[in-house]
Amino acid sequence: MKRERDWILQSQQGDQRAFGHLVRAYQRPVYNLAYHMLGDAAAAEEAAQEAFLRAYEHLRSYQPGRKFVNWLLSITSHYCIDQLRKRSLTWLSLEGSLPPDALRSGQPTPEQVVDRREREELVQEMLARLPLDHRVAVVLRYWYDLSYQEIGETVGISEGAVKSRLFRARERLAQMWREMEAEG
Amino acid sequence: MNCQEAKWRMSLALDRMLPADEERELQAHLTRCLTCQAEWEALQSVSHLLAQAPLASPGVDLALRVEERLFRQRESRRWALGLVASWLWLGLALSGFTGGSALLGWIMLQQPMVVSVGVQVVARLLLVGQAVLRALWLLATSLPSSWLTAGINGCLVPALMLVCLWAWLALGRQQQKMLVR
Repeated sequence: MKRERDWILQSQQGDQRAFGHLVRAYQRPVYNLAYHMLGDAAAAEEAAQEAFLRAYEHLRSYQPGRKFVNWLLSITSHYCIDQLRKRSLTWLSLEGSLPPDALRSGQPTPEQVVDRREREELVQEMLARLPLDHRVAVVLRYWYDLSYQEIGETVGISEGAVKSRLFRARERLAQMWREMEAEG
Repeated sequence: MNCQEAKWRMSLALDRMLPADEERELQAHLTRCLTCQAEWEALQSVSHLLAQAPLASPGVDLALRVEERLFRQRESRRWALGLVASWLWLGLALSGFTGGSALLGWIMLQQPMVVSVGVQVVARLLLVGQAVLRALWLLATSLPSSWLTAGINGCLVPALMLVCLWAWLALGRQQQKMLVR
């Protein structure tokens, strides 16, 4: 934690090496959010890089009272939403787009790999069918375990709006789930 | 409790944000309502699926890429600043040259005598400067020892200042003489 504070202070003074430490420490959560928002590994890598560059540019506006990772996630989510709105992109094909090392850790068996990949695809497919503002709330809730207040701060909405978005998103996801079950 | 309210409470219950008494009411509703039961099961399944999903990792070292891009950004900004500064200097030089030429033209029209005196003053200044520089150069090149060179160079600065002062006074006197004539 102290190291993080030091890195932030050094980066604010223009030390790019210190900022490199911050990127290494938070590249995974930032990339993960971008990946689940955009649904594509290459686009997620680009978005994560862009989010870090924006963070570096606006590092002076970071308030130390706030969790640094949440601040980064806020930048990432806004960037991803902007990108998706610009391109009117609702879904990118999953073909060949899974992150290269998403399936590597822990040396799983081939069956586990297939199962995991299928589950990943299913999750991405369901997320892609959610509206953007609902999607970001779901990702921040399930992958980062953020509280309603933290999600609100990250996305820039009230706690009530977070509850409402999660409720609507879950309603929609449950409906998709039932439809998939009905299809077998 | 109606079904819509039950659904709202289900969402809160999944986040463990539902007060105990409201959760008991929800459970009671679920035992009575088959539609809400099916909804609750679907919600739990989806929630489980999402909660189990792993954190995706980038395939490359993002830090390296970000550092590279920061470096490129810094270089291109420096280049752009250099360009802007060059244009500014060029603009200043051009406007100075134009303004100076206009002023000189105006003086030549109004006071031709002043111009001829000015030309002579500049020519003499150039001659004095040339002589001083030649002397300095000879002194510096004829003294190989570095400490001696440093010492002499130290004396030369005040000497040069004195020469300049002398030249200024001498030229001023000559200029006055010419104007009197």
